[in-house]
Amino acid sequence: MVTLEDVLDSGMLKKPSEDEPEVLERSDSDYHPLHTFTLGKDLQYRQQFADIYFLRLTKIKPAVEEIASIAWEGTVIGGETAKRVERVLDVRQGELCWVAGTVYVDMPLKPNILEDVSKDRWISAPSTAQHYFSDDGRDAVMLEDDSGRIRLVGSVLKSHILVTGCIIAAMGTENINGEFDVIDIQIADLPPQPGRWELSKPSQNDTKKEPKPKSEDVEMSGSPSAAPSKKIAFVSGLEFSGTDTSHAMDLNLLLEFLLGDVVDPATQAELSQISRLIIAGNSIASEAKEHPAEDPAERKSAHKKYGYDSSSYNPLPSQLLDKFLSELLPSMPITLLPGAHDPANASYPQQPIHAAMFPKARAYTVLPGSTEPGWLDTVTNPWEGEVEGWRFLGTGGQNLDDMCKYVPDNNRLGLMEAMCRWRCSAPTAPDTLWAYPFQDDEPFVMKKCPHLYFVGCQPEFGTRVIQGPDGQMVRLIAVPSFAATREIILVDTETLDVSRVKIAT
Amino acid sequence: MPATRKSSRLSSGVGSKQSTLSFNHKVTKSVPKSAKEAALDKPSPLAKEIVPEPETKDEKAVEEVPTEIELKAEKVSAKEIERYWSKIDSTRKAKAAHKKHGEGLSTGEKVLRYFDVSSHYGPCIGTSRMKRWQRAQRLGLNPPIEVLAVLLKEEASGDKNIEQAHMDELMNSTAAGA
Repeated sequence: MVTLEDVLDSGMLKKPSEDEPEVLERSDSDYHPLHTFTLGKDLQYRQQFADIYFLRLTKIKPAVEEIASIAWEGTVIGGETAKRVERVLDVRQGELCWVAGTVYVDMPLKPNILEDVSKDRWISAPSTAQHYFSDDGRDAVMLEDDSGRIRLVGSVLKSHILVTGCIIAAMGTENINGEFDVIDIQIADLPPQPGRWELSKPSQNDTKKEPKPKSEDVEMSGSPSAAPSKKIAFVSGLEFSGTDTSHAMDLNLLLEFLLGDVVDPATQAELSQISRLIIAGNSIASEAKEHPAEDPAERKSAHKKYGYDSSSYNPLPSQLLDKFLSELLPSMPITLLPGAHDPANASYPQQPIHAAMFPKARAYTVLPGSTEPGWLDTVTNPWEGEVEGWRFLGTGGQNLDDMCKYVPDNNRLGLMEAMCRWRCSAPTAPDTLWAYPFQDDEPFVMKKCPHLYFVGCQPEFGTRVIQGPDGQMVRLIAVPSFAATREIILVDTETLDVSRVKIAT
Repeated sequence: MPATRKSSRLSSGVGSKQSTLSFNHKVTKSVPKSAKEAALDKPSPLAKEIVPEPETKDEKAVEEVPTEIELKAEKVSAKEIERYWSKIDSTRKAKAAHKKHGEGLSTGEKVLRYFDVSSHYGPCIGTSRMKRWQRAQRLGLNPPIEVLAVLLKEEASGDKNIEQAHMDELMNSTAAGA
């Protein structure tokens, strides 16, 4: 009988090697979320939405007027000096003046509650994916403040992106039709930007890197920036579904990729630098359309309790998401933003998805009322926080998708840049984007400029760096929907460079 | 309904010759008042203890720390309020005709109504006057301190009606009637 020892030297069989396998450790994440968009418990709905517009105008108007007065000071057109007027209705015919106010775009294609009520139709959900922009000039752009409204005309309007809710200063004169003929437009531009590490402190993590023999070059200078730079992964539109399995394989591959299971050790070392995953909305697919096989009469006779047909509930999508999260969580902290299709409230700002949806991943969240963020951090949409010292602002995509309906071209990065320059992250709320009627403070106004602004669930990837007048720099990222493109985004935390990873079968 | 019905029925059904207790006249045992109140209060502190404590703490916190601006407002005298009002009134051109409408109103109420329609401080509907004033103060709009003085005075005198803007009252009343 042949024993193992005899065959060992022949070269075919080998004993397990003596050296220990490399244990790679993932970089830890410096994380400090802000609760700017968290709504309190006792919410009042008695108030009107006019307060939102008032708050927005009052907060942004001083900045706009400052920029406008610097830009237009001493402008003489046709022998007349431009004067500032206090209210929109103070403009006089033939007088060259400038005024600041809120833009309102009147579009006949916009869903209009008065029309629906007069035609006796009842709308239960906002109409989706409908373009409001009409090319034939039926859209009217108006400037509004607490005194009144005035219609804006002029060829200048075509060269600027204008949606309802943005605050601008317009210079021009009133013509005989009572319309304001605009010559120039100014906006508030980027707000002041905080420095890096404003809220949290960098963790001293170079000491952890020393025991690793195979680590990249670590200078022994002792400064935290010498460690290999960390990365943050962004993904959106995972769209776990009970019925649609076209990307189920890719989701599995994504999980294995992030865990570093299937790649070689060199790639694993790179992957261990990913310190956090941010899921930017639409983790659960929207409900499948009406089942064509079922008879409508059959469905009506289904067991109905209190008007709610419980048999139509499919727990599978959230179970799949829960499984995905619970497998990834032991290795990596996750920030989860709700999206348009996720089980969170429908109006902006969306509140965090309740931990009850994740029976397995729940173990990684913190108890409600705790001040520390959990390993799994379910956050609001939109969300603001400081990650690795950089100020992040992100949304699940509803604000950008809504704004796209107002403009003819699909210039999403241009709209994101416009949002930053208007200092408002959701200008179309509450006009066409359902929002809570804020009364005391409106959180959509950007008080501080983020370093990175990401919007999830976009049809394709896009990124740009924009600069502000005071040296602010913002990296804009349109995170593509994974279900549509199979891509995830990696952002380097030292340089804020963006790289794209495609998971393809 | 008192529980006497059942007992009387039972006793009468059994047909006992025993004299039944009649609760028709004596419902409650005559007990000295202090003991009765103590008996009533005993179970409730267990329930009340948890809930009102944070409430009373909050109220105390609000009352004990009147802000600087509130202290200043309390010092504003009635004469200063009159002076403020007459300054606004003098800028108006249609004095004579509108004096008739304002006849039943005190100067304080006139000052408050003028504050309501000043759209510069935001819409007056859906929020109380005090909250609107404080919001305007927070946003740096410098609302007149005389308005805060009137509000605090009215609050001290216990008048609840001035909390809501008059316009708000009118708008809400039509909604109820419709």
